[in-house]
Amino acid sequence: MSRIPLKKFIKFFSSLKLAVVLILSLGAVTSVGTIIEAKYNTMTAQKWVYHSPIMLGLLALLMFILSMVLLDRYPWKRQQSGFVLAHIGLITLLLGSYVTMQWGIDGSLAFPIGEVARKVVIDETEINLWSSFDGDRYTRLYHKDVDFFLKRPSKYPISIATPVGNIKIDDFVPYAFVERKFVGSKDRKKGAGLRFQMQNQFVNVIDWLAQRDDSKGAIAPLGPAQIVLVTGFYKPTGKNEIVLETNGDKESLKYTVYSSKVGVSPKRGVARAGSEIDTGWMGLKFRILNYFPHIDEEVTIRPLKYPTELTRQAIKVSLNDRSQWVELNNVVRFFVENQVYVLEYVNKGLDIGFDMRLTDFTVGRYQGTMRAASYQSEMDVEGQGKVTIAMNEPLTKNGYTFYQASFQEENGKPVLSILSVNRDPGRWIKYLGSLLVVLGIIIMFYFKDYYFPKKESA
Amino acid sequence: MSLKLLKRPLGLFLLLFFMMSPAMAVRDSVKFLAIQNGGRLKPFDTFAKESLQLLHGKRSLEGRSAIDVIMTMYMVPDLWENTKFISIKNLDLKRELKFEEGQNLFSMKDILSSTRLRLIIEKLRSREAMKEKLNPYYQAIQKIEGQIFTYQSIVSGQALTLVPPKQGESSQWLPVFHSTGPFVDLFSKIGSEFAMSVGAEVKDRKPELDTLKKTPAQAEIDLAQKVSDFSAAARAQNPELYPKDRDIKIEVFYNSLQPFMWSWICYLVAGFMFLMFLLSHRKWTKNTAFFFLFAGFLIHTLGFAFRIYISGRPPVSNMYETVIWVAYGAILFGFIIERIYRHTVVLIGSCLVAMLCLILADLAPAILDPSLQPLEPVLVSNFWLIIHVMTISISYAAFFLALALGNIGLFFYIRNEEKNKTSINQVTNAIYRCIQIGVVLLAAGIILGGIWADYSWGRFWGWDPKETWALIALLGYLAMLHGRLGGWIKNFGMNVWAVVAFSLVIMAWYGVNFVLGAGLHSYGFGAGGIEYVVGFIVAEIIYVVYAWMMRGKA
Repeated sequence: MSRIPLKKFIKFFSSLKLAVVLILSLGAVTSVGTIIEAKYNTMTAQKWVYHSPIMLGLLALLMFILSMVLLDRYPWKRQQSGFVLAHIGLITLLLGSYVTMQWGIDGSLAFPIGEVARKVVIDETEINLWSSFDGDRYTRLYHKDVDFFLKRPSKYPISIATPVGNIKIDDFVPYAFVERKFVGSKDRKKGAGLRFQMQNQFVNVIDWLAQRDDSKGAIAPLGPAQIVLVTGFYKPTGKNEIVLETNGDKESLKYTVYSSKVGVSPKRGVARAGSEIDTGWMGLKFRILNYFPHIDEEVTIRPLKYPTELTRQAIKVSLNDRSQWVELNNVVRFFVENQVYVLEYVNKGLDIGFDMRLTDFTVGRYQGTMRAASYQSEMDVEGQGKVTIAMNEPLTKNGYTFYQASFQEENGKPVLSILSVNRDPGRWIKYLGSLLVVLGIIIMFYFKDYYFPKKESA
Repeated sequence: MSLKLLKRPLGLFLLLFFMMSPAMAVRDSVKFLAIQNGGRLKPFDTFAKESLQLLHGKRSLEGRSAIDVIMTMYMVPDLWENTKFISIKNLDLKRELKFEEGQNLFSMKDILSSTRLRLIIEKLRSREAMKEKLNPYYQAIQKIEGQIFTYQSIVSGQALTLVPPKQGESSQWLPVFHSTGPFVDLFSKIGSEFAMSVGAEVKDRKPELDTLKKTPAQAEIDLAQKVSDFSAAARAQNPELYPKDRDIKIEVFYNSLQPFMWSWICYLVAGFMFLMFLLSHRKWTKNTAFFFLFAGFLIHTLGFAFRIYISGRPPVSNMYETVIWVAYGAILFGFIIERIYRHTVVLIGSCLVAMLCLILADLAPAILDPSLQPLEPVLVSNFWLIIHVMTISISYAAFFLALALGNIGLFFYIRNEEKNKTSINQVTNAIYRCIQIGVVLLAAGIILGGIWADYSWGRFWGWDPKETWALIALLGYLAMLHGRLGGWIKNFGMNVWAVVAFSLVIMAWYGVNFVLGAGLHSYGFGAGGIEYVVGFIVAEIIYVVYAWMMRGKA
């Protein structure tokens, strides 16, 4: 390239007209993003607009134009320092954002009180296929990072070959309302399940208690008591409990009611659907509403047009003639011959490399109300000891920063603390860029009169 | 200014003050009882006004004070059950409840006896259970629920949490009738003196009803005595938790002062006087204008000071407060620009903006809630939050001022471009300055917002609608500045842009919270007023088009 076309090239890309057009298109595209965010949700807006090729292209073009502008005005004069600083700052800011996007991590960590967690959940999703002969040891047969939202399986179906046939993912619903219920099954490999009611004048609980496909027991904890559905031997815990023993394919159950009180002997008998058992605990009556020696879990989904807080992403998984829906962060199991295949659809996790345990969680309330005024997690961090993470008081360790994000409560008591976890290698680049931009604009506007003698503007 | 020069403006000010002064209040002493409500301790006065605001939509009812209404509601519930004073405005809801559509006020009996009430509340419940967004219709149902709850808790006395817990117990105050000790007795004495005072007032007006022997003045003194007996007992119960006398007094004073009403009245007079000055060039008009400008600014500042003192935080945490803050900024920037360039017309713009903001804040409490609410945890004691919100919202003030100036400039264009050349140049120059100020502050504010988000959430930029719209507004003004630099936007274009680009600010400031209603900034969210805002934008656009067409003809 000779010198003159290069100059022309730079001139073209540093024109103010192009800048104005670009600025306005950036504004237009982002405003569409905010409308999509309001109608759908943040994830949708990010995928469709903010992280879309159009947006990234516009930002890349902006960076390019900014560089051309700087080149065009080179060598810079003293009175251009504001302009130069502001534009270099903007380039730096965009560069920092790119570094963050490329190498940064933004996820969350949820801790039940008293428990350890070290796997940060991030937005990206993956599918894994596991198989097992005995239900104890699993081998991973397949793994793939997926983004079904952008690459719909209806267009890009996934098919995983296994010795028993192909496991396929052929449908996806971004905003699914998921309902689970249990139905009787003829498959003798499936576990047992019952629907029960526990009632006295204060309490009325109706729920399912189901043995998962590959387990022999199931427990429904009900505060000071529990109900156990078991196949085979069970050792009582000494609590108030009703232990229900399955009996092969028969529709009856053997039951034993244990009391936590010393000296009260267990009560035994046989029950079936419709039976009522007097527990002897605070007048509680236990009723079996329905019992199946073998059950299937049926997942139905209702696709919604717009997301709500209760909707999940869901995929349809099929093997031969069987198919089942499964929502994000759950698994679907297929029993074939003497094997089980488990397909999981989950958010990706990232090991932070050290243990953290939530020892306590406290919530401060505004006086006389249940409104939270502040909340904090008391953590026990490997290699650091006791640490408090509170709103606006994050913990930084090994390049990660842990922020108190939110918490969940049940009956007015916190049960789960949620931290957001972040690693941002672009942070200081962005800060530097910000500083330059602001300094640049100030110098540009307010010292202009100082550098240029005042002229009458047209 | 010499004393002689001050005489005329001062006289005008005092005249206005006396014209606007409210009538002598009665049974005022009850206002000073301390109550725990809505997450903080406040004077009974504030509680009564806020409750009446929710129930009736105003802070007084047909000339009766909130104190009178709330106290009698507790003492003689039957009286209020059949009174049509509960405000319901949503048309769909009225239709659903089979209420008269033309009417806005209903009695609690109307509402509670409606067979549809259960049904619509069920509908709201299922919406809430599905965690769907609530449209204005459902928000109106929520409001009715709130009204019923507030009414019932006042009538039952549950809301009258006037008794502090004993020392060492929880921080929860008790309703009078749940408390032990002398409080039930003391409060019933307040009640009977209160009734006595109402009776005395009636007697004063109709002497033929000679049922009571007390004069209103005597009744007032006796009531005050009973109130102070109650307060003393409450304070003795828990001296640590009981609020300071001074704090209660200051808040009651703030409630009655209505500083922001006073400042808009001052700005109105100032703006008018500046206009007079431009037309007549008489010195006294300018002096008077400045006098009122300063008076308004002083009262405005005072109002802020009160809010900061009462809430213990900078007053930029909800829409109401930012509106008032923007009015403040508009005056400040206008004054600075006027001092530098001596363009009096800028201050007319400032007064217009400040007036508009403060009148809005004063007249639309249902949309712009003036009550002091507790903050979300993430907003508590956060330096960056304060800085970023204050910086961004004050940049809106600069853009708002540019809008007002744009309107004035277009007016000059419509009148006669040639004749008004100097004025147009002045106005355009001021617009340019305003937009520069605005751009610096908005850019800095957005970046500070990023720093705050990074500090509080670990995210510098998250495409949150509030931050995104602030960025879009910034882009709009940046496009304008680049266009000006390139020479395609001339004086007329500057005036047009100043008016049109402000729609972006309206979207960022109001639209995100009230129209989009999504995102992390949801703690500032509210509803209502959209028809007026859209009306404003449409009117502005028509005005711009009209100016453009007229200009072509000239």
